[in-house]
Amino acid sequence: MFSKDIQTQVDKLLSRYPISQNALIPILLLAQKENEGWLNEECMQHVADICEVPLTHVEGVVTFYTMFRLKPPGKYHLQVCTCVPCCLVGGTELLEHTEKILDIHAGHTTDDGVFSIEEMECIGACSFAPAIIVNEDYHEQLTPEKMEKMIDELRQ
Amino acid sequence: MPIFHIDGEPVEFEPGEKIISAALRCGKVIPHYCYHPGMSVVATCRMCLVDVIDLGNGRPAPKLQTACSMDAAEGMKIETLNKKVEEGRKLVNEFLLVNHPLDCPICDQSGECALQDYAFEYGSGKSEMDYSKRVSGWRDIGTFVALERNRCIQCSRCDRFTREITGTNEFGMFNRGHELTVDTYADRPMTNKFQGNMADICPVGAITEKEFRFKRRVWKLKKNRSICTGCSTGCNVTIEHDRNEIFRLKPHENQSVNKWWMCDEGRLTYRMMNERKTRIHQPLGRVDGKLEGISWEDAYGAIAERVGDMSPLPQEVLALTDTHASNEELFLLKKLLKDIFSADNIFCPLPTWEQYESDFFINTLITSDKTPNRAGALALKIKGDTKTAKLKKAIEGDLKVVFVLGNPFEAELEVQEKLKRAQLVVHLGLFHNSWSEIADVVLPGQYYSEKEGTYTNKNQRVQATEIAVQALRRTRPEWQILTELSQALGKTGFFTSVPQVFNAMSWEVKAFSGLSYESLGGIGKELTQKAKDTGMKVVRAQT
Amino acid sequence: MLEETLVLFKNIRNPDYDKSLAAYKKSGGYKSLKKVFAMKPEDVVQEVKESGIRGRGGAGFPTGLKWSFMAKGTGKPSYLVANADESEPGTCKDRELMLKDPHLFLEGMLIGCYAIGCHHGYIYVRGEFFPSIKILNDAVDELYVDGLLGPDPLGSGFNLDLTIHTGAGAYICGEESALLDSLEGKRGQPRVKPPFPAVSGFNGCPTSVNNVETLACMPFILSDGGVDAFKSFGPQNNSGTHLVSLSGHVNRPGVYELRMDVNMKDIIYDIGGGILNGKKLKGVIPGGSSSPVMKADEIDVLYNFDDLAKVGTMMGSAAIMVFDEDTDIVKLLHRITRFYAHESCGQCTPCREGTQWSKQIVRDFLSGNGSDEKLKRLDRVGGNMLGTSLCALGDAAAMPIQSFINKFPEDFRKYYATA
Repeated sequence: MFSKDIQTQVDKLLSRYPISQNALIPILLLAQKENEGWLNEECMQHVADICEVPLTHVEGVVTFYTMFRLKPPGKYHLQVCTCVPCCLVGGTELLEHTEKILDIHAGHTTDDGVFSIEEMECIGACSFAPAIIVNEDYHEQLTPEKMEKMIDELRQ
Repeated sequence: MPIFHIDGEPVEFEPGEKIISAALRCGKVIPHYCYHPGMSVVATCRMCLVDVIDLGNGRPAPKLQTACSMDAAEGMKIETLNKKVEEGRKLVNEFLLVNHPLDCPICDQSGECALQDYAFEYGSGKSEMDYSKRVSGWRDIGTFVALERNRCIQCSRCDRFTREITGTNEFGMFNRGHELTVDTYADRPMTNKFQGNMADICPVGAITEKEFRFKRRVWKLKKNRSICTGCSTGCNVTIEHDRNEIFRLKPHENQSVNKWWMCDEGRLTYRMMNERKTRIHQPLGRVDGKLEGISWEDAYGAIAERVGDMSPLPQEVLALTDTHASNEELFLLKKLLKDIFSADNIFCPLPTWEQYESDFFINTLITSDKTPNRAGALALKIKGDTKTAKLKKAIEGDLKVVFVLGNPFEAELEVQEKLKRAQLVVHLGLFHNSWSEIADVVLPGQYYSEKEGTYTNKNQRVQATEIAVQALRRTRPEWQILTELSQALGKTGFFTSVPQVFNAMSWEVKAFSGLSYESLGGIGKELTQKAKDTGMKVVRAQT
Repeated sequence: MLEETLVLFKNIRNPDYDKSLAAYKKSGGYKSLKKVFAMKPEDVVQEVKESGIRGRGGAGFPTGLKWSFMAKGTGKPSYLVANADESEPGTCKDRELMLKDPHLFLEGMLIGCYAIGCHHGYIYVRGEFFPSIKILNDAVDELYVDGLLGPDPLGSGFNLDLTIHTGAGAYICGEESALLDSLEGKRGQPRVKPPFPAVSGFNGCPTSVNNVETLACMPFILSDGGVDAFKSFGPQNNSGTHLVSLSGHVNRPGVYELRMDVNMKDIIYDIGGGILNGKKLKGVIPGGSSSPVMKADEIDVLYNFDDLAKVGTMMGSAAIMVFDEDTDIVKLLHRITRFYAHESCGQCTPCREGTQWSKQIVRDFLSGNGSDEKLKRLDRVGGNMLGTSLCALGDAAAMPIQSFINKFPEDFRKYYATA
């Protein structure tokens, strides 16, 4: 079910913990990455078998943590922080501007599947606010203009 | 035993015991939702907050502590009635009612609902919550229970139940924070055999039994203690009924038998208790080949007359019974044969049965022996017959008198054929069956819920039942029938109560020696002399 | 001009530093570890105790004392778990260490492992810290290649392994018992205590959970003369330098390493460059969003654990959020209550219901439906979460609500006085 590369990583992870269950969350993140950014029941069942836990347990874990997604994100997943420090320096405005440019609300994906927006709680870049994460990259000290420019660049 | 103080009163505790466990054992009131003595401690509902004014070392605890998570300690002093605790209970109650719908008028739990009771005791009486409540909807979670998620107070008892008690992991908690919800996830109804227990442990009306929903308000129900007769475990139950109709069985705690649980099959045995249309309503006698209603006096008279005419030899008398009969009934039947006829040909089916073993105690509750008194038959040395070989031998000759109690050996057509030719067949039973078809006299007995009796469970523990509902007017309990029949057949002496019969039984039967009816108490008592049961097989349970 | 006191940031402030193992060693790295291997573990713990270092994750519990609580003789392995789940709003200091000088933190981690007898340490990094995770993984690989991790680091015979473990997005996993549940592959829900992690932590074994910055201090403390030097950087019971994350309406937001006897005024106006756009200061959240807010006229206080506690607030994770005179207090509080409502794990009644309800009341104010009665209600609901919840998140959610109402009541009344 996993590609050879991911399976190697999974095996390595399992070997780092005393109990298979301990590797559940890192393995789920790997499985999610492999499955284009989201988890379906088949993925979760597969991981449940690997980690030797019941499927209900995996489902409980997946619905607890915000990074697990149960529907596909866009190609570029824009995770915009609007928490206290970012909020003080324009994080909310940044989010609203992004929603306006892409014509979708946070929690949704554009029709062409290229962009999705997620409103985030503190992402730990407070002194460099406003900050966002695009897929796995941090972009800090943004302004609405810089945001627009970045979205245009990503579209290419 | 070490001691600590609650509200100035001394309370004994076992080392390592939590405050709440010791307190509840001594009859103190500590409101709680998530705590359950059979499951792990989570301390999440926060309702059991108490004020520990002395931790046992002279210093108070810095804030209110949950009684379910704190170990009792020597010298500890706790207050549960002061202002701080009152405020604590009030605020927890208020928070729970923030999202809990006011469903009391349509909720089955009303009347036995912890939230309702505590809101009445400790609540503020008015709501300051102006906003929309969280709505999560109704879910079909299993064959036996339904889930009203709006009412859930997230105590996690149901979640812990399928993880720790049944080990089936069918239930879980999903999402986080305000959205935290219980469910089976993705429309997978539960299939475990113990779902009814989840309705019992749910402190509110979130999980309810499908069988019982909307049928009766619980404050109308009368409760009587009894034993489930669905299998040989003999889980302790309360029979809950109103106006002679039984609405449900609920398990009664007995740490030596079923702990806090019972199985769903057992719960459903209440249906048979209400089944009255097909019952035999009065004594019947055969007139011109047809069974017709007769009086009890005529029934006894007819039997006595026929027996007097025949003067049967011991080997010409036979009794068949099944292990649904109580200890007293078996004892009296055996006694009747011996006292009146000097006979001892009494048989009951004793097929091999399976006791399940499992890592989870609850799986051991169900056995494959669906009768409640096999061990009683063994203790009373009723001739068990797994292959009917002995029985067939006993009926080789001509039979004059045959007593059949219940519905034993119903598949043995050969035996029935033989018995048809007996001169007198007396059937003591509840329902028409193949025996009443060939009987000359039918004497109607009573169902478990209508009479007293003791039953010996698979671990050879004797347990007593109470009368729950009124029997059909012209039936009599089997112990009484056998006593009266004995008398009609010439025996002197007369039992007037089940305790009397029991005490006589413990006098005469070695296995029951040392026991008295009074000594059975609420939890029963094990036989002093246990019989070996070679028909038992221990098998690993399938979950 | 207020200057940084460079202990942890010594390498980071060097523009030529490339954070490799070679560069770290060149600047004196892993000398402390070598020294530590020659000491008895209990002596290491004793030195840490004497240094007076208090946890840098927010709770400020003395680290040496925490390590001395580790249960011994249980027959079970001991574990050191580094808490890199930096999620407290305002805090971005651990990421600086992990991104720019990972080996400083890793050396501290190895020292800690030796001190408490742990042969396999875990670093729990929040899942969103993709850059830090990559850098840490590379740094750990360097250590294995070098032999500093493996069967015989520096000839000590004390085999050492490290595993980087990723979280998946939950602030509550910064709480140590929730972190351990998450590390074990479960929902990150705080545990009932006792038992404490030092007795039963990771998979039921004795465990110590320590913040990244706390561990990063260890190489300095265990160096020659380190204990006394560390103590000299602050008043009694507030030893060492610490990393302060400054954010909000200041000209120079950033992470600064400062002594513990620096005045908050200087942090904001000197090193922080004063208020953005020449505005006036309205207030400061001094220690991460869980700390009680301070008004502009209250910031003349030394920035350390005890001095802030004396004035009724807390230093927490040393995250200063500055807001100016134009800040809408009610909107700010709304954002804070939204945060706690989103991050509550939901287990216990007061926090699960209280965070949501308080958020709804604040939103009501924003919609123009405020009143004196609702203000009192908000204060009451917030207060009901204090001291009644299972873990500190309930307290953390309560304190901002009560302090904002206490310090800025007029800002709330503005919302309904005009209506």
